[in-house]
Amino acid sequence: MSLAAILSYSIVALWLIITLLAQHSRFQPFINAFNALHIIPRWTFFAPHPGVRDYHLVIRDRCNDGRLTGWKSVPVYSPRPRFGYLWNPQKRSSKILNDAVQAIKLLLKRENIGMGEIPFTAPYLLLLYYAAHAVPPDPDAVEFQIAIIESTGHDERTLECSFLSGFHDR
Amino acid sequence: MTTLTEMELAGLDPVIAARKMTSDVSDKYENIVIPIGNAGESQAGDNAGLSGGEGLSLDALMRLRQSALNQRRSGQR
Repeated sequence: MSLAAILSYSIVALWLIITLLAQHSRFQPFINAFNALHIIPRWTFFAPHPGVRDYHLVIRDRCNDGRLTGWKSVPVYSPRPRFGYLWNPQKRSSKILNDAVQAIKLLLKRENIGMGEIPFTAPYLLLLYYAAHAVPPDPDAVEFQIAIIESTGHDERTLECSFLSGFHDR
Repeated sequence: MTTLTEMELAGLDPVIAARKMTSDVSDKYENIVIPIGNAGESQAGDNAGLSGGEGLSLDALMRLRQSALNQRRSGQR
């Protein structure tokens, strides 16, 4: 076996070992520090806590006479393209929005950042911008507000609100 | 993320009112962080040191944030 082959096998074996270690929360902080290029993947989508909630972004307007419109769903997914299983870059936008929702939930749990500070964070601005542009405003709208709704269940969904923004000028 | 049905949307007000009644933010929910992107890496300083913002337009919020971040950068030099 050549020296190049031995070296290649060693690198791949080391990569595999580090990848396996990275799945354990105990080693994650150390490995993340050296994972700037994101070459060490993590597969924790279904374990230890499988996702059983779905997220929904909703928006409503406040009109110049003070009237509130009904809540409207903000469309996040575009129709799946025919060859989406091969190439579907549109999925990135929904992933970014999902990340933004998760980021807001994480920020809400932090003790050193209050509700009043959330509106200046990147995930909040991202959701606000997307919602404001994805849903046409009511003709009389002067302000709008967004909320993150979580649902559980299948046939009869249970809804909970996990975040409610303040009103912002249209 | 999906959309809600018309009936679910029509029944959202009590859901949101229930939210206002509790100071418990989120999680009781599962601690799921999908480790792609920077969702798990939001820093306390992510808000650029600002607070408030209610009533401001999106443009104003972004302008204030950018201005605060610029000031912070110039202060670090």
